[in-house]
Amino acid sequence: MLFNTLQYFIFLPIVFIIYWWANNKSVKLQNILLLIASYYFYVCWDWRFLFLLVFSTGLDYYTGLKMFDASTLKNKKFWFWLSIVVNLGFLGVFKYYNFFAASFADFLSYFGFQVNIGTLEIILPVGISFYTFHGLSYVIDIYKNRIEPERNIVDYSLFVSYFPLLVAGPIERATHLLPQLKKKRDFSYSNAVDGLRQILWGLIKKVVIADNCALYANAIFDNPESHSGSSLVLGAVFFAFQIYGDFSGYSDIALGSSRLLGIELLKNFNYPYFSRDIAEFWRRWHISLSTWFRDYLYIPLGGSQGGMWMKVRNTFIIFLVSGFWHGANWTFIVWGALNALYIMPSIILNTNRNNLEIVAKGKFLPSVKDFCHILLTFGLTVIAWIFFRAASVGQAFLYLKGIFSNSILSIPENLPKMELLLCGCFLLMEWLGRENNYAIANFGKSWNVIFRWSFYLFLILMLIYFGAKEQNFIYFQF
Amino acid sequence: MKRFIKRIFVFSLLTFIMLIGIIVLSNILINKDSNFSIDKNNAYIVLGHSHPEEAFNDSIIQKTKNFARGGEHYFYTYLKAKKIIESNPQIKVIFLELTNNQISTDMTKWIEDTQKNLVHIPNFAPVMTFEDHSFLIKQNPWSYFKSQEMVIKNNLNFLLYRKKNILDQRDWGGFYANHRQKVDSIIKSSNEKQKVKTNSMKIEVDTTNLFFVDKIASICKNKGIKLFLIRSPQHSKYAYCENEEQLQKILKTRYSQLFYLDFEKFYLLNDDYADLEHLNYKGAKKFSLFFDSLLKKGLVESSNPERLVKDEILKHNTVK
Repeated sequence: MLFNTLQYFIFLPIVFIIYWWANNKSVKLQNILLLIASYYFYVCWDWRFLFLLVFSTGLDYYTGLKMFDASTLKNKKFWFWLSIVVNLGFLGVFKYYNFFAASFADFLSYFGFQVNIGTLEIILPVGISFYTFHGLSYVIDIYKNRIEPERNIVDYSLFVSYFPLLVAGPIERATHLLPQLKKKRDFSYSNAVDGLRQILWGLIKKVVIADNCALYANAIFDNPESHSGSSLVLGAVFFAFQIYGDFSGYSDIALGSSRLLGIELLKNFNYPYFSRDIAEFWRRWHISLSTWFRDYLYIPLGGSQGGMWMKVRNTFIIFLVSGFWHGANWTFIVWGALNALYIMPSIILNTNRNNLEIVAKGKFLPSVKDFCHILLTFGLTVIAWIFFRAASVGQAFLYLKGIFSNSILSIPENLPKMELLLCGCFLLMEWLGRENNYAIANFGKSWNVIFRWSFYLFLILMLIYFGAKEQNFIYFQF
Repeated sequence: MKRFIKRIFVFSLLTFIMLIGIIVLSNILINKDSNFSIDKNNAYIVLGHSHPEEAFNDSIIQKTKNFARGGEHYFYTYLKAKKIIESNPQIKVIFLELTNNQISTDMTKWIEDTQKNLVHIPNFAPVMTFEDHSFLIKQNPWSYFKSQEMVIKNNLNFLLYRKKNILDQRDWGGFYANHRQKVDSIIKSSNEKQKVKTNSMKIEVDTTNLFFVDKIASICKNKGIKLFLIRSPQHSKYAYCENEEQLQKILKTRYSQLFYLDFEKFYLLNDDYADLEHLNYKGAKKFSLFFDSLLKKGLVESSNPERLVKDEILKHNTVK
């Protein structure tokens, strides 16, 4: 069940109505209902993998309790590593087995050994990277004595499987989500309206921006050798808009849906394309994953405590792992490495926390310097996206070679005027709303209800007019 | 909570009214102001499903425009015929395919199938009446509802870009040059002594589909247009030939007033077929040249066109 389908917009109101009307007296009943709805949501993808989800949930719940109750450190460590190994084992088998098998065979072939390591016909269970990370953060937090284990199996299962975040995040923390699931939720009119508004904006990002940009970007990336340098640049820029619209649109729909149910999820995007340097970009892009790696990998590795070398090494490690998290392909690893290289100057010069506030706060336009920095950062990001999108590292280099050719100054063969106009309007809306939670959070709030509703009706019409090319969300593959 | 539900209800109602308004208004505007006219020299049109679509190469046949389209239920053919006749007074003759598979209840899925309706409904929405919409809703409400998204998109595109001739913009049919040649392999993989059957084949007669043939016949009668029912060439191993008895019965009873031009026996090589029911571009060329020669020999004006067709086919087959 995709967020951008009619099925979801039948499912969500049904859950909403039963949740608030039938169960508003009891948190326990509300949570049971949400858990059933979440499992149903997951079953709509593939019922077979529900068992994996339930097993993973059960394992972390049980090991969490065992770790907390362990009388010795050795015992505690045993349960901890059992959970880590099994969780990463699932991820390894389902997501990375074929990659490792093929890479190992390639490696041996360099030394003249021709081996035939069988690859498996495995379907990647949707959301596995996300719910595994939910479970891991929970287990690590208990091991580090940051939290106590959740003893209510329904609440814990809901924490892992809550439908708005189940298949593509945001990656939640037990410390943030579990307390919300334990307490009584009261219906708030303004929150519910805000949730709907965020869903609408998420749909605009996905259906109007991402899906339309995808048509152009796919055409270029599927056949880069037959396009001019300028078309390749445009293709890469459109992919940058596609992935942002796609993933942040998904996150907006997730956050909005959850807000309708009175539960706040972690913010995942904060206008990343208005960043003035790469460090700022990574504080604004897929925030829940970046902070997860910071808290559960970078800091345990020593963070910035061990001098410059440690800082550089740890930064590289988290970017490489982050790339690898996205998928079993060298393209993602190179993408991660490239971002690590980008961020390195600011790490070494200790300027990585220079731009903490949103650009041009309280002003209409940025300074020339900020504008140039935004353009440069966006350009670097677009180059990295080429590796992310390309089918192979070789194709990415060919793509780059094609860009830096004489034809870079030519006019693209097919100039998609409508898509350019859409992206321009979208950027303008995002710029105007950059100080808010999401772009239209406060847009038109002070208007007369007729004008405000007309604006929303206009957005709905945009969805229909520019939609009808229903596409999957990119991050579902991760 | 009550306030929220109330407001959502009002907003949903407004959204619904806005969308209905756009659909109705754009359909009316396109129907009234758009151009459905074809070349003034085209006095004959061919209608039907994929068989005539791939058999009648209208660039070869004089004064003829092929409007047949693959997978088209007679309901859509009726809508098409009605509008084209209304907008093109020069049309004197309609050749309408009526072949074995079109009388089968298998055709029900052509009006109930969601994917087919998602293609056809947006194409024909502007020319539908209230009764036509009701008919479609009864067949498959889900596909009707879902197709309205494309109706809005297509209609707004049409109006915003100030397009005029709807026939240039929407897929209302036309000759399709098929480049396949699969007959030999189909026959080889089946029992050579039998007809090649498909799993879904049904022999029962579909009266809903034929109801719209009656309606086309009625329009033609009122407008003084000659309607010929035709059967495009089909391979002798084509499985639907098994309902020949039912077809002949329908022709003798329901359509006894109409001429039936039967090209089933028109001799063609296996190489001229795309598969057992469709001609490829080579077969279409041979057949279209033959059909053109029939028109030149006065097929339309003939008092006994069925005899003329039979005789000419016999001559053609004897030469071969």
